[in-house]
Amino acid sequence: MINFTKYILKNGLTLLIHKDDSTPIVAVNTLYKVGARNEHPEKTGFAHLFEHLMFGGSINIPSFDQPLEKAGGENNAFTNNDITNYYITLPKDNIETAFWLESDRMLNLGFSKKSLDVQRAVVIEEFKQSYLNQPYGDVWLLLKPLAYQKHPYAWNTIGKEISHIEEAKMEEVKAFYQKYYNPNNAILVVAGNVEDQKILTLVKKWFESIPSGAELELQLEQEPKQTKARFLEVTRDVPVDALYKVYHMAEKGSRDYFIADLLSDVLSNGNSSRLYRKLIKEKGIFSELDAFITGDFDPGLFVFSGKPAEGISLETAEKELLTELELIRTEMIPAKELLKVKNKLEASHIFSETSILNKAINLAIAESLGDANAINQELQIYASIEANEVLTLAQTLFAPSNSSTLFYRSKTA
Amino acid sequence: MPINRKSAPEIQIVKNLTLPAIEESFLSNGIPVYSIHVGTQEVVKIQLLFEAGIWYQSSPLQAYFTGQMLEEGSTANSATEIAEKLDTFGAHVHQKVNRDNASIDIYSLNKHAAAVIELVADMIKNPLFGEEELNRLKEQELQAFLIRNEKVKDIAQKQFNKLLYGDKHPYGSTANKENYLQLNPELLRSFHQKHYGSENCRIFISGKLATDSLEILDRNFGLGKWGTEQAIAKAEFLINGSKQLIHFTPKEKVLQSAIRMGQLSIGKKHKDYFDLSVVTTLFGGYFGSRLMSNIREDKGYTYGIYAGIYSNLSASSFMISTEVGADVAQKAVDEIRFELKRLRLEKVSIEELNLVKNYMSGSFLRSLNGPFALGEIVKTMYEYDLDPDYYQQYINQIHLVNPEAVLRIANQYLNEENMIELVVGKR
Repeated sequence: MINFTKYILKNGLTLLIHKDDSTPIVAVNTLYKVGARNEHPEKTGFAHLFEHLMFGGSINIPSFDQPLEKAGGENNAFTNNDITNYYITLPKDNIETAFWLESDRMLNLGFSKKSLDVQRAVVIEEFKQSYLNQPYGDVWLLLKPLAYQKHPYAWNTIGKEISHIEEAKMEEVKAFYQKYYNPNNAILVVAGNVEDQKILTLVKKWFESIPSGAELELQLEQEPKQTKARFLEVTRDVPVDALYKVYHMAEKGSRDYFIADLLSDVLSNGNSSRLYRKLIKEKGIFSELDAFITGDFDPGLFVFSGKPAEGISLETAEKELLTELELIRTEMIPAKELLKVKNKLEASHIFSETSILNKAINLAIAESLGDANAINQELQIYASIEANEVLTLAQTLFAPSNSSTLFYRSKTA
Repeated sequence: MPINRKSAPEIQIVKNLTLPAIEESFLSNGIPVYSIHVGTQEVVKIQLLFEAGIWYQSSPLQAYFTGQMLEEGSTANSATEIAEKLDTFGAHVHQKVNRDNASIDIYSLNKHAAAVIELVADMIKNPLFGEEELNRLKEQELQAFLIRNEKVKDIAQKQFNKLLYGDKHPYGSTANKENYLQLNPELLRSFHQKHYGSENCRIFISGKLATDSLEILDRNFGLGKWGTEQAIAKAEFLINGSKQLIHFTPKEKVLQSAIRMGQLSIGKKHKDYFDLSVVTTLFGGYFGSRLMSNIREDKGYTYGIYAGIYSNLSASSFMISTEVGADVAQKAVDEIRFELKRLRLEKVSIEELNLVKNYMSGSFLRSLNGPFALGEIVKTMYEYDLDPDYYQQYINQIHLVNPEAVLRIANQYLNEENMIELVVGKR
């Protein structure tokens, strides 16, 4: 259970405060409701590039990192399809430093040409390092456009191609900031051994004078229901073949989302999960096989990713995987297995609450979906899921017409 | 109320530490148990430390596979049963085998701790090392190994260790495909017999401890001797690193090259270690470091570049690591050398030095954040045989380092002319 209090400032900034007196560190998390899904299809990778620019100095403070490091703090950020999230941890006594820095870059950035030039280059290196220069690195560059034809999830947060990043112009960067980086589009979470009123006073001091921006209405083209199985095959210079299969699933927060999450655990979380036990241990079909959900706000993907064992073809591996999926579509999960997975979900929930930063980030994400308190209801939802619901979901979810499959062949194998 | 956004709020510098008390006790058979009672959630972490790392193995992969095979079946439970039970309790067990030791880490909810510990005790004491399970694991690990072998950073790291220590030394030895194929149950069984026993075990627990935690441990690990009764003999190995300093391993069709640079260095107990920690942090140990500022933030050659001391029980090293655009590899090497030289010749400003010290004390405070992180600190303390007030000394000493000391340390320990340089990819 994560207790918190919520305030909304005059300029629309949402503030959540969570007290945990067991640690000398505080976490300050700032979430902006903008991600890759908000990008223009011809200017992809912008939300993520922008995350880098947020460290290039703000209107009154030339360097973001230095003063924070001086206060014993550390920070980082991540961008995904739906949000851009910035987080700081620092000794409790220095919390005002975090507010000073975060509020200034919410007020306005420095927008130096140098910062844009350098961060463009850094992001291009990141693109190479993560997506191009390692075996299987381009898998998601192939899979997403296969699965999505209309929705912006068709591209990755890093962008569709390097040229989109190379061509990012200063005026576009500024417009992006003006549109999305406003207090009424942000959620601030403070977690640690703190007093509500003191935090509220400090947050008002630093943030309340920042003007609001225009209210945003998110209108995205939703992905039409897929009606035919899709297939792609590529050959690459990798040591072994790999198989990827994705299915469209429900949006985050819906009941079907939780059921799908639980189902992914039944299939592949832990060494006693079905796919691990049957296809890796017993039959030796795969040397590695995972099932997971992408966790997106809009309808996301249920993903299978595996590498066939030596001597097993992609065709055989796919057939064996589908046999397992057929089983889960036709037979109810035994009560014992369902209980096991629920226990596991409970344990990982409790473990995740041992980290102050995790708690702050989770609160912010839940709030951006509408209600931070939803994280306190998750366990009840998982506990209430019944075997017949899993069966019903699996029937529609794993329908062949809902699938996109990628055969990633090894040149040498 | 108008506020001055240009000037920073006042800050406090962390200078005193309050570590939670470490309680030392012994199981009936003499196994020492170090516990700290902290945290808000009903969870516990238990670590069993054995002298069973790479240092002690007689052939490559022996130590690692012995550790991994502990979950692959015991006399009382098959691999499937072990997995089934652990998952049912929502518990995690990780067998971490490093250069010196092996640590079996258990994470459990308090309410299931008794059952989980019983299961793990059986895994550790009575493993089967079944042929079929081993073959499966070999195949999985070999495939992962072949994939890693395609990555410039993995190739570079392996080669660099070899260059530093020589391939006869446990810290420099590497495995090849043949070594995977040659593994057999007997090899693992004999290693297990020698290295996993009550005479060779220390236990660390952290979390919100239940009142009966020690009793449970005693019941499962404390009644009588188990495993070998012989004390472990620690062999000595000669370090025989490369005399040649500049190395290049070409790899075709890469977009990035991996760079490693460094030399042998001093360990945690050396009198200069704290000072050297300050200097290496300043140089490449945090986001605002000299290396990051120049090579990422100014030149944009890389997504990240780091430098630090890598400590082990018997020898330690200093290493710089990065992956850079293949077309700028030589330029990046030149910049690294430029920064190393500057560190030795140019006096650091008080401002920069203070920033680093503050960052380090905050960073240390962060490493005490949460029960499991604290558990790790305690384990390191005993594993490296550090003084009880080691961490307070650390905080005190880093605040005493002055610009003259930085120059002295840099000249003594970080002279670029003595360093091994390795580039993998293009240059």
